[in-house]
Amino acid sequence: MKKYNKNLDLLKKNHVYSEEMEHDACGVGLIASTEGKKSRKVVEYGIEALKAVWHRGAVDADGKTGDGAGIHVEIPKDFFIEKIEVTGHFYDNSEICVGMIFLPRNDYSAQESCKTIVESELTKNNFSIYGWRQVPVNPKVLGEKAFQTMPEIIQVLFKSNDPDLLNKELERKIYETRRKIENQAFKVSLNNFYICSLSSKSIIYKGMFLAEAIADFYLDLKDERFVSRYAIFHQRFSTNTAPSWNLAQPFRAIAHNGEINTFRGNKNWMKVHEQEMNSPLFENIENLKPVIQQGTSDSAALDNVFELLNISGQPAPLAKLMLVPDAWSKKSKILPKDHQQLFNFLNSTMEPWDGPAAIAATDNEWVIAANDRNGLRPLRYAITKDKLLFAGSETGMIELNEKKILSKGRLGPGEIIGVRIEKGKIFTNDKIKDFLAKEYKHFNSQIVDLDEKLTISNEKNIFSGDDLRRRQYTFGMSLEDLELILHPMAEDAKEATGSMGDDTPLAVLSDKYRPLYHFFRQNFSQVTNPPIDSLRENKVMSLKTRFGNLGNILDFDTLTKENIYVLNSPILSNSQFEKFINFFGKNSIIIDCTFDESGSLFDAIEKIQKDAEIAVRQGVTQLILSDKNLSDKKLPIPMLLCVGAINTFLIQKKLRGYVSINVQSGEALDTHSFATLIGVGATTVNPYLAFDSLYQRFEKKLFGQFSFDECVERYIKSVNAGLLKIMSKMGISVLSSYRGGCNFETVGLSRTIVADYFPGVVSKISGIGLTGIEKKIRGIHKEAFESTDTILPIGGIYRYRKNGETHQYQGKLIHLLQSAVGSNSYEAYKKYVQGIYNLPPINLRDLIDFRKKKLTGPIEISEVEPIENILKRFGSGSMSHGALSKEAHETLAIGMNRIKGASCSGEGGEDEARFKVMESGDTANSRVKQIASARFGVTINYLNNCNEIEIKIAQGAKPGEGGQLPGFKVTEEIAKLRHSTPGVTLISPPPHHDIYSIEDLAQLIYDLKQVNPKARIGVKLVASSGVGTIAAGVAKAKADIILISGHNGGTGATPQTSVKYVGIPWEMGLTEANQVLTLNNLRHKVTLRTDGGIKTGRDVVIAAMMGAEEYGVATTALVAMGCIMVRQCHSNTCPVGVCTQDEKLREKFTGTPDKVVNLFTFIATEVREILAKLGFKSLNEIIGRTDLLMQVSKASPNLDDLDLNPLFVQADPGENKRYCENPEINIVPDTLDQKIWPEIEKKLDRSEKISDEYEIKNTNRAVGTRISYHLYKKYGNEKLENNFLTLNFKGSAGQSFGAFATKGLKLVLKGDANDYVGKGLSGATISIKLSDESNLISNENTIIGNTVLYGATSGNLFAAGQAGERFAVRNSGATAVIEGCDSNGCEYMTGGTIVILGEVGDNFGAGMTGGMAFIYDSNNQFEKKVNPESIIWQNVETDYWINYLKNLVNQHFQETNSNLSKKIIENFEEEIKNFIQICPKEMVNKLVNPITLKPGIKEVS
Amino acid sequence: MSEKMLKFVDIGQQTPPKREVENRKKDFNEIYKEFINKKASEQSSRCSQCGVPFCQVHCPLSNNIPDWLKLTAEGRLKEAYELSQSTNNMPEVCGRICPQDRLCEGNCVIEQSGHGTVTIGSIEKYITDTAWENGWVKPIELKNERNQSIGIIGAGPAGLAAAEELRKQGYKITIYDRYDRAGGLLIYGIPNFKLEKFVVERRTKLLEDSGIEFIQNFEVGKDASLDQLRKKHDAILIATGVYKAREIDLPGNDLNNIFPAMDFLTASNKKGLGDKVELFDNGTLNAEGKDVVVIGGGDTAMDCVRTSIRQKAKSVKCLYRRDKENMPGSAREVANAEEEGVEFVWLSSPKEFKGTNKIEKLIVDKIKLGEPDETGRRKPEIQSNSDFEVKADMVIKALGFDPEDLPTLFDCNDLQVSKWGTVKIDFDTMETNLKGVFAAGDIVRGASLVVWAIKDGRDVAKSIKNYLENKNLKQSKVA
Repeated sequence: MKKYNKNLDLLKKNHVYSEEMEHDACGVGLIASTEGKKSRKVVEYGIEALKAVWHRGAVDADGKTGDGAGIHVEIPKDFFIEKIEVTGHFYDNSEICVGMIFLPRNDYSAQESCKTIVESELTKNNFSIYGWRQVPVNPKVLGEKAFQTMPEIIQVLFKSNDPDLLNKELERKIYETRRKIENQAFKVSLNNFYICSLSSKSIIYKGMFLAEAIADFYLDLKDERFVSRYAIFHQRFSTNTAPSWNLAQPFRAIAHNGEINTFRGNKNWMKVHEQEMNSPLFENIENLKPVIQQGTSDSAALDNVFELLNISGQPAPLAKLMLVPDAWSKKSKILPKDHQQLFNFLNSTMEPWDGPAAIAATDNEWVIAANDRNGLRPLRYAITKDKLLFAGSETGMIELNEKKILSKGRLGPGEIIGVRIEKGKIFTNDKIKDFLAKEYKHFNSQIVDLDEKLTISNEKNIFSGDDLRRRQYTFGMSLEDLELILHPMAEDAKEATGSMGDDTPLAVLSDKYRPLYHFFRQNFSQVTNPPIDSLRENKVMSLKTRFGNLGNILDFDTLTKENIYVLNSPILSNSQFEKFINFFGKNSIIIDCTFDESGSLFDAIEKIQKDAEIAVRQGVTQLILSDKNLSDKKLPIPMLLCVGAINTFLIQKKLRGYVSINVQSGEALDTHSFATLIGVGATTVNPYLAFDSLYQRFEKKLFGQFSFDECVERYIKSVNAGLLKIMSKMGISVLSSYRGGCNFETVGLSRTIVADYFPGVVSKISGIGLTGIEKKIRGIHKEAFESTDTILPIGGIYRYRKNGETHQYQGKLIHLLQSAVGSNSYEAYKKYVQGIYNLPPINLRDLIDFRKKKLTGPIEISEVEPIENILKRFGSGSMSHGALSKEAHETLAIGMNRIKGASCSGEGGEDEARFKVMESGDTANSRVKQIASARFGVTINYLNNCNEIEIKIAQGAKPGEGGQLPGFKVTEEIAKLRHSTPGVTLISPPPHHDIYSIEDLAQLIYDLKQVNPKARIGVKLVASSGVGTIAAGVAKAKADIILISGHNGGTGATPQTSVKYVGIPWEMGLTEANQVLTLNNLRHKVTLRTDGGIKTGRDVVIAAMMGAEEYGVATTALVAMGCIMVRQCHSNTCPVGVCTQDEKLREKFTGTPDKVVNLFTFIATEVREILAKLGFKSLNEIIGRTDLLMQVSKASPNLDDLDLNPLFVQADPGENKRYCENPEINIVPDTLDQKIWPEIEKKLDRSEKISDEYEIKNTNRAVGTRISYHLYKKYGNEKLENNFLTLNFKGSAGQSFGAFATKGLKLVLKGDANDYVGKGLSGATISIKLSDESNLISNENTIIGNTVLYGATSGNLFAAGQAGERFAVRNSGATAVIEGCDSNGCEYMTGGTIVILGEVGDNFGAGMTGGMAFIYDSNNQFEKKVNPESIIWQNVETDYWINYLKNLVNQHFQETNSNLSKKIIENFEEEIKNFIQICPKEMVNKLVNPITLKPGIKEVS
Repeated sequence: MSEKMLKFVDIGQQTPPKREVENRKKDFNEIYKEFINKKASEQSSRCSQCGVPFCQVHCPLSNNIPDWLKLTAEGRLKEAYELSQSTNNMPEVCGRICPQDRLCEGNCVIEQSGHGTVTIGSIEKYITDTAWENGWVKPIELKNERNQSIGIIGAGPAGLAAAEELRKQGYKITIYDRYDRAGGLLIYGIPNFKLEKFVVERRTKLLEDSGIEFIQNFEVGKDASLDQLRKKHDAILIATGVYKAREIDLPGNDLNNIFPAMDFLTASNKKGLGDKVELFDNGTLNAEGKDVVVIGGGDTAMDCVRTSIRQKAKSVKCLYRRDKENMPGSAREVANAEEEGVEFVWLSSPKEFKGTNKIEKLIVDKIKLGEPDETGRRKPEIQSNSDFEVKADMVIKALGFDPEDLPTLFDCNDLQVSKWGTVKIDFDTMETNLKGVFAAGDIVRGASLVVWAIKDGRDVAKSIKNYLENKNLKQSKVA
């Protein structure tokens, strides 16, 4: 532990690690009496439930330290009366107040100080203290880390001296007192002092034990007198690391499962809200500030605000709607008008706290469970006859008598269920919202929709000709920007697509002028939260932009004294901008953001800050920052700096809430530039120069028929789409929470600039400062105004140009490498590497060299480990057959197999013929099989023909984004591999829809370890600051390999700005992951791998010293096979046949396995040479040895600021190795299968009938999967008859029931199941029906959870009840009948048939390009819910499909006995009219059996 | 990405049609017809818009080829022209005479992968010719002329390119040239059928109109010494080119009717320009009716053989020591020559000129190619006892050019030259050992391509500008 703390301090000091990087997620839930009766049962159920969600938490390396668990219950009066009397006090019937407090355990004087503060504040605030109580605990159940960090746990018992002070008023007083105590403690730096709860109503017991140990640790909980009307419980899975008792949940108001993606923005805006906050309810509002305490987690911060709202009078459901609102702005069809108005009003009060969130909350009046706007976390509930409500992450957490259950349901997006405790009444979602809508209706009239006033019309340009060109030049625009980036934004109304990775220098290393926004890199989600699909799930997203003073959030009556203005997009055209200024008239002021040649940048920034302050103090509400005054004598201040500087300054001056920051800038062009401006605080942006540049092109008639107004509209549309995409990458849905959130990281911007102007932006590597920036501005300004050319510079950022930006793949080097591998000439290879080493610095590693002093001197090369040992550490990236041609993909695999390296299937399935060894002894079977978000071709067979499975969470070139394989690339061959239809577009979603959180990843790893126990499981991450904690989480989730990809990895197609501005170099990500894994004793348990632009042996050696054991070389391997970096992979026109499906072009492929072998042999040879020179015998000796590296300054003088030290920090691994010595498979717990397979196998061998019925619980996960593995191994792939083996279960099945289950297996379940039923189904049949005792009506209740049949390829599912979100997402072949589902049903489906005998949720069929669906739509709701983009629908018309449907419904009845299906079958002639048949547009003319006999199908919308 | 590009998959390669051989042999006009507008844009659209454009990589001028191809494909010829001329002072010349098959087109990615190159040269020519036709090519208009001046010796491509670039920067420019017309090899060296002379003349006119002063028939060392020029100007650029014909010393060398290539080509070009040329008019330098033998395998040799054909020679043979694969000249030119009836005698090396008074025949050794030498080319070795005779009325020696003896010529012994006679420069600044005297083009690098001369001219212009600005700065500091 000492070592741990030492390591931790080291990492923190060097900016490698901070608490804010931690993420968590978990299991959560509540039990409440619906009749308002306290009972012991409620508490016991809470404790029991915690025992049933242990698998959603994580365990430390010591096996006993949990990430935290806890329970929140009412104060048991009888229990505490006794405790009061023990202290010698007489209990006088007043309200008992109890504080549950953590104190520093071993520091007695600190304990005393804490107690003194508590006592003195309580006394001062008119409370009297009964005394302190040592809470009895049993530390033996703790793990080592938990024990080492265990606080002194005590309770303070007290009462108010004012007997009339009760309920809310009393709570408020206690709250304010607590805040005073906390601020006091903070002021005197009392660390490790934490108040879990301080209340007259409830108490929280929590800590770092395993969830099931809670009652063994806190002995109080075993006391029968512990009774309550509700219990909120929580089990944490944290990515970390630093054990913290404080961060265990529940918190005072909420328990939260998920992650707040907008946390940084929310924190900043809360500071702004604090400025206006006021309330007569409190003694002094200052006592309540800061609302969000320093160093808290996202969940804790949400709790801070939630609690504040509750305490100041907003009931819990309203606080939930303010902070975690529904998506409403695009759902006018399905939401009642008064709900919309409620949301619209609440939207103008606060910025949403956006991200996956299952919440259980209480304000002591209400107990609620609620979900986020996207429904990204599961929440299932049951209501029983004995007046209890259970809600939680899983069904079956508490064993209930099926007979007693009244209903079983789930919470969909934004939904709430709650109990009003005093009234003893249960409220469903609609009832809660109806109730609130009534009360807040009248606020709506103050909201003014500005879009009607500021329309796009009569657009004009401002500058043209030479004037325009010099401006473009000054802002760093090039021809390439105009042609490649700007033009498509208007012509196609979409961002341009590009391909392959970024091989240009980081902005800070470039000797060219790079605009400031090039230094900013977008944040993105991976593992702990999901990116959103901004295309297919657009309905939950919004760019609504609000103007006007932010009001006092504590007082609704005065909150909207003034009008609130709303715009649908933050981008203003020139005409809109003019109207905007006119509209606001005197309330707006223009701040000139240019400076004189003779001035200085620093002074200029100070000046605009002061200008802004004066303006605001004079009552201006609209600041307009403009760089239009640029001239030959006036230089522009980078607009990003202006916005950041003014935003930060006004926040400091407590003035930010009074103004909006509007920008008129020539700097904004591509989507990233807008995202950065808004991300650091701009409200609107008018990119006048982009419009003028468009006008110039319009005048040249380059936009065909479009009028200029249309061009402007289209450009704005593409910016909007880009903004949504950038927000969605990090899981943010609403612009108002993205604005000012500084959701970026910079590489090479000085820490001072970041701290002064962009606080919150992560900057691990400090670099260029104001002086350097000013120099660059002066340089480009001079060039712009001195240039005699009539055209702009050529560019060369995206594609190599000789006079443009440096690229690492240069013509000569490509040829050298190709001739080297072609002629097997190591000498030629050496020339190639020398060429690489001679380039100006492009990567961070180019500034790094070996620390000679530390070396012992060279050894003979023969002493170095043999080349085979090195070769097997290489991988060739994970490119799919589909991105690559068949020839290229197989050649690469054969080559890699020859060197025993790792080739990966990529995300595209693999031809089963390749699983066999060829006659020549070669094999084209990829050793690694990838499982990515689209699950193309992921079958049990696929997963069992590899020794490694890679879960691709993110891709270096485009983390946080999905992909699309356009129809023209989907050939017969590709379609077969991906289980789809030739010519039909295929979509890879941005997230894995079964990984929205870290515990979900753990589940997928678990599933994969069940289906192939012999494969190592890898997780592919992309480097970002914070990847260390994520890697730790992944390691805790039992992954065996972690891959850290650099930002410069390649891609087959992605928006150009994604290639450039997302992710960071692997040098940064790898070192951080290595450091944090070492810190947490996890490093030696996982293999670390890295890739992203690795080209030479030196790269490999540096990667090794930075901690990687294995190395991926992908693009360079392609180059070895003939790729010449045409960068047209997305066009299917690769002239050398590497990245194309065009047969004619594929003939041009010249690659051979030998070339691949030669490349890797050369690299390995170079590695051996370097090792010999450095004096090491094996790679293992240098892994993690950053002490052998040092920074060497190179070339450009502005590089000297660059500080690479954070990369070299070494955590002490203690007795463990710095690498994974025995790459073995990390063990996961057994499931039910391991118990039952031996008996089944015996019976199968003896051909006995299997008729047992097995009890199943929610903790039995992936049941049927390991049995499928055994069947697969025993009987071969797809050889079994259907229903060869039937297994019967009873109870609530855990997650992933029947995942990847194979043909021949049938699983029958009586009861219900959790999420991911039939994930990756590979031919099995799953039947789920109500238990025999149940009184439920099947189609009115939920029987299966979210994301069912995800990526299923074949098989059947029958479920007598409703499903949750994303039913049959990415199904490509399974057939299913269910009785209703929630949002996003059949999303991205490409095959199979789905019958839904009931209502569907919103956004049905989004991105569905294959397969068929039938909906029983007796209430005519379907058309409101459907996403019409890619599908059409009609009544079932043709006999073929009528019979087909009838058969399926009949089968459903046979399987499940469902009453509804019985009713439908009996009256089929009539009922068929209630069915709607849904078919993807692209499929209509490809069907063997047409869906209509009418000529031509009309599109319905 | 504009969907207008990447059409190489569907559209085949097409060069502008060549004129019929019989037809083109009859005159000295260019042999390639003009591209029509549609063809030019269609052929441009074949470009693959490469991430690493090997065409540009292998272009000495680093022309932004993919970019102006795209503009052409989109019908944006004016922009295409502006972009093209921003890296090249005479794109229409390069479009005509560059050996594209060894440079851009030869390295074109779709050529390398077997789809047939984008016809870059002809499109480049088309773009600029169109610009001239439309009056887009305009003389430089200066807002402020600087008071510093530069003297440039030589009006060839290097000198002209440097002159234009420096004029753009506002300097006063005087070009001193020893011939009666400006243009250097462009005007007198390269035959019309490759480069019609009006193309060169309109360029020099453009420069004159831009305020550049041309002084023709001016020989440095005779009309003024280098030192005098140095005093007159703030900087001097030596861009004389290399004119001394490389000799072979063989028995019978002094026979009549054996000429250096430049004499032959200049006479022909002067005739083409309408001058009176005595040695031609009296038949000496006219190939008509003669058996002509040209020795050499470079571009100049090709110019000579094809000129001879057009002068109606009885027969034209080309003797070269290596084989076709190992020729230094453009393969496309060889093909053109063969089409026009030139007979190539590969692997042959003259041993002796024979005749009485005037040349009658050559004795020629057969050659075989040995092991590759340091440069990678296979060494020619004489096969013993293999000689044979080749009949000849006229022999043209096109064996390459060497620098003249500049220090002597310029009457300036201080000027440092290399052992080959090329002017020594500092490779960063292109300054010679004499302060403020720069050199560029063939006189520095030895006989080379026009495109390299232009490149050197542009580079030296930048360097001279730097030099003059620093000089100014120093002076103002002193003052």
